[in-house]
Amino acid sequence: MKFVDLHLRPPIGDPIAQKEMAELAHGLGYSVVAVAFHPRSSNEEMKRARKIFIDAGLDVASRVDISVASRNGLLKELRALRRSFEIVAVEYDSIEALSVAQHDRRVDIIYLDLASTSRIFPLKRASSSSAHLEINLSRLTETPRLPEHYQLMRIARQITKAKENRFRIVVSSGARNPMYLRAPRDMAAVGTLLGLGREEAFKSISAIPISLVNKNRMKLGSLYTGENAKVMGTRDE
Amino acid sequence: MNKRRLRYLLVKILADKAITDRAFSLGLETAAEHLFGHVGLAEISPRVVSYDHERLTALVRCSAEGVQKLRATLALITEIENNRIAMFVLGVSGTIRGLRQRLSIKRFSGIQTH
Repeated sequence: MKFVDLHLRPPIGDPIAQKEMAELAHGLGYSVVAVAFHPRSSNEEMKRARKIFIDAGLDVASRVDISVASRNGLLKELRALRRSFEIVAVEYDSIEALSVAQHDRRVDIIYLDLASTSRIFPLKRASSSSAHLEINLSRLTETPRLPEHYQLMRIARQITKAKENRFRIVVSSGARNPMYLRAPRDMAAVGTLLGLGREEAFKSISAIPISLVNKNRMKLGSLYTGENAKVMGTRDE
Repeated sequence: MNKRRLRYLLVKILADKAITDRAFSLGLETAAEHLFGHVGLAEISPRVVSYDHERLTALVRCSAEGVQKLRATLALITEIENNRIAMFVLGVSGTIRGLRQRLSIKRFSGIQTH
């Protein structure tokens, strides 16, 4: 089984830390990782980071995390960034932006800070949208204390709501350094603790993120022409 | 009477400073109890069988039914005795011998601890 961590946030200016993370991710059994870059990261920085992860034996997808509060701001960022990154993620910043993210088919991932707030996010995915809901383990592991029962309950409640709205769930580490990485099966075990079924939890770290990466790579390739249509070949006149 | 089915987990530890096997064992039990309560802890029945200070690996035994809960517990532990810590399950088996045969620990020995 191929495992994917769709959210690594290594320090982009620190190749040693990147190498350490890449080697650990490979050692833990990941095949594919998505490395999050800053929207304004230079091509040179992105190429360098990608090479480090590829050299460690990983397949790397580029990812951008957008955090904008206004509707127009988010649309502008999506226009500017969609063709440059394989995964486009939107972090919850306002109800307005969340509403756009749930309707716009350019958004792949929506992630919310589910652990630290008691509010229920208005999740309502449009049928045209392909957005996935991401659970970042770093929200639970970045504090020295173990998560409290009410934090786990809030996340579980939100996952139930997301499933009702046909969101596909992705579990990622959101790791900024190796201390926040976790083995894929351990992440799935946390997923089951948060209310995912065992099979669902495994899919959330394997089949679902893999299909998302593959679909986006196909879309970004030159042969893609539209939803369910691609150029199979060309004929010389 | 049916024999209780057990599982052995090989756990790799990344830590700021070295931690003792006693601290590890206590930290693990406390965390499992925090997350699953007394009944959950009894169901998991975690026990540290051996602890390698050099390789920073531990062999932990638990009930077969408690493997998922133990994995989740290990993944969520981030601090033991004021030391930042991360743990990864490298493999699970029904016997210690099976675990040794299946796993190559070598590839993890090069990882630096913080």
